[in-house]
Amino acid sequence: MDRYLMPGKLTGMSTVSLEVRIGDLFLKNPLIAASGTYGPDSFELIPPSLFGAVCTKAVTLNPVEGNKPPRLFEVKGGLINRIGLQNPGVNQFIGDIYPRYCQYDTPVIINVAGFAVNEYLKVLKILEENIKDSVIYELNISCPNVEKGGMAIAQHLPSLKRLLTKAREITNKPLWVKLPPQGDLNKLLKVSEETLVEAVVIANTYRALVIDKETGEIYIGGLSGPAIKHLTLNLVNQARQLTPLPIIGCGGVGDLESLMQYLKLGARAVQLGTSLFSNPDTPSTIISELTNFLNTKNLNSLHDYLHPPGSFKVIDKREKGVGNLQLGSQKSIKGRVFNARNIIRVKEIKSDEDS
Amino acid sequence: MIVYKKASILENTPVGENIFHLSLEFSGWALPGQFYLLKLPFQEPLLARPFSVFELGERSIEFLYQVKGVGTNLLSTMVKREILTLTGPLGNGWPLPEPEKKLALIGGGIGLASLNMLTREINSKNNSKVDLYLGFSKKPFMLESFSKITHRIVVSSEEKNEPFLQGKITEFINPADYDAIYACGPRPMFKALRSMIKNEGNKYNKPIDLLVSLEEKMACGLGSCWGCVVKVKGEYKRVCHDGPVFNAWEVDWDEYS
Ligand SMILES: Cc1cc2nc3c(=O)[nH]c(=O)nc-3n(C[C@H](O)[C@H](O)[C@H](O)COP(=O)(O)OP(=O)(O)OC[C@H]3O[C@@H](n4cnc5c(N)ncnc54)[C@H](O)[C@@H]3O)c2cc1C
Ligand SMILES: Cc1cc2nc3c(=O)[nH]c(=O)nc-3n(C[C@H](O)[C@H](O)[C@H](O)COP(=O)(O)O)c2cc1C
Ligand code: FES
Repeated sequence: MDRYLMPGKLTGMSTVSLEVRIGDLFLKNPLIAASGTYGPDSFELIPPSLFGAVCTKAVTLNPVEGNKPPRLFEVKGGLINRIGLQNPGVNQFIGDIYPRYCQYDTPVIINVAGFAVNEYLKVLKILEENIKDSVIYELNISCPNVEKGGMAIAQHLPSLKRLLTKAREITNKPLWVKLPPQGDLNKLLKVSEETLVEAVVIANTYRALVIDKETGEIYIGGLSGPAIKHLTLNLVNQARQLTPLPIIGCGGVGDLESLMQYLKLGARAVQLGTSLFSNPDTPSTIISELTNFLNTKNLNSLHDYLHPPGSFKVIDKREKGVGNLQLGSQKSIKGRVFNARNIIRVKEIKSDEDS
Repeated sequence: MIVYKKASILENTPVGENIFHLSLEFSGWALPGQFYLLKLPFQEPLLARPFSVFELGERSIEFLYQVKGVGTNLLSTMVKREILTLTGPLGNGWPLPEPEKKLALIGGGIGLASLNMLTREINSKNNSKVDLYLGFSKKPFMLESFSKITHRIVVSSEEKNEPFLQGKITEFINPADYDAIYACGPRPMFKALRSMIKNEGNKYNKPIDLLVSLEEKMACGLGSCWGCVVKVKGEYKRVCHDGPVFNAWEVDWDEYS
């Protein structure tokens, strides 16, 4: 059995491909560990190999101290966090943190954040100069709990446009934008399309307020977990009508049902965060349940379930990252090299020439 | 190795006012001062809660907990054979003192849970001299268990509780007698200890080490979310991963109030 396609736990079961395609890259399954909720210190308990890809915690240009505690508030159905982007800065990320991801085959998504457009761009340049592997960049323009940058950039469309345009000039690697759940979705998607990002992640945490029971202090943070699932499902559904860009759903995924709901609404993959806290077995459970489900349907792949033969739909847009949906192209891509990228690029160019 | 595993309740009984002794069927491991996250089998609370390992048997693990809020309230109603899920062991735990050092262990209230395995470990393996100080606001609990592993215990209660000393436990310690003090308890207790020890060496004019086990709310418990931080030497450190045991002289206490 292909180790890359199936988590070790499932050895013995019949092989079903859970592969999904996002833009022009293939992930071995539709689960992605969400930024800030997972990292090298989780690997021992939740191995990266369970996921289609894993996202790093936000990386900024300079070290960020983060917010003064308290940083976590459990509320009904969710968690409000106000970490404040604490991280040691891009240089230490490259030296100390990134190498810990390199010991695994799983594709790495680097979540890039900043307090001004230029900071994001500098981070990208430094990453480009130092990391030669095929990584994916996720631009986090949606952190609700820092005062500058983050969501502020998403609220100022010219800044966002400049950020995405320049970012595209800096790198050829897949560029994803993680959109805020609050804001003009249509405009955010249009800017993302125009600037040729490969995919949009919908969405981040929801800006929320909590009053500390003990002190009476008021805190603002980001709400995540089951409480936000139906809000984000709604955003994904709206976005699906508004853009041909591949969508990655993120908010409240904790079981097979929620994964399938996102996929049904047109998301190509999902990210999960808070459910990794409440149950570290979430990814392995979803993967084994999904495999079982497809087995009982006598299907060989998730793709066949989502796009049964005959339902082939062409999303005909010529921007980069919006290739034709390919039926039956089950490329199993091993290691860190996304061969599929080249294959599909060629196809895209062809279809351009055709017209 | 950190595991995430189901465990069935063997016993969950009150041992004091709002204090419960929880014993689970579980083959695991832990160093003194390490903790596990306990997840209840319900949707709420969403997150697991951290508890120090009180005792470890071949096929069992024990915790002592105080009923505080949603999670511990629910936990206190659970009965034999119900299932919890444990993640751990987590955190750094207490360092074993160097041999021949004179050590005071101070437990304030439920904080004593973290000192049980340590006391036993030191008394059985290490030839440092250890005195145990346990302070309670109300009626003392679990003393029988401690008296099996050490004879050197000082117990106080803020209420009048014969035959125990009356007052805060910090009133009955002479820090100068010790090379190191390990403490686990409420924040005001740490404050009292720091002000007693500050700038003073022990009777051999050596500085006194003060190690404390800190508590913060947690989400991942693994070190990935950076939610459980305290400021140590000017930097936010994770209680779950870099702690819970910290050198008290390095903690920024103005932040940790
Ligand atoms: C490393 C570590 C070891 C611990 N060991 C023990 C132990 O052995 N026995 C024991 O009784 N308690 C222990 N605690 C504290 C225990 O985790 C909390 O009392 C518990 O999480 C409260 O949960 P709850 O749902 O009942 O309270 P909630 O409803 O969540 O909150 C009620 C109150 O408890 C406080 N609280 C919530 N979570 C924590 C927390 N993680 N630490 C401190 N206070 C908190 C809240 O601020 C609030 O005041 C430990 C905490 C840590 C960090
Ligand atoms: C503790 C915590 C830290 C987070 N840090 C980041 C971050 O650094 N960058 C980011 O883009 N999103 C961050 N997020 C948001 C998550 O990646 C995710 O978008 C959000 O939690 C919603 O998904 P969930 O409901 O599955 O948790 C964080 C979330 C939590 C709970
Ligand atoms: S609880 Fe997540 S870092 Fe400590």
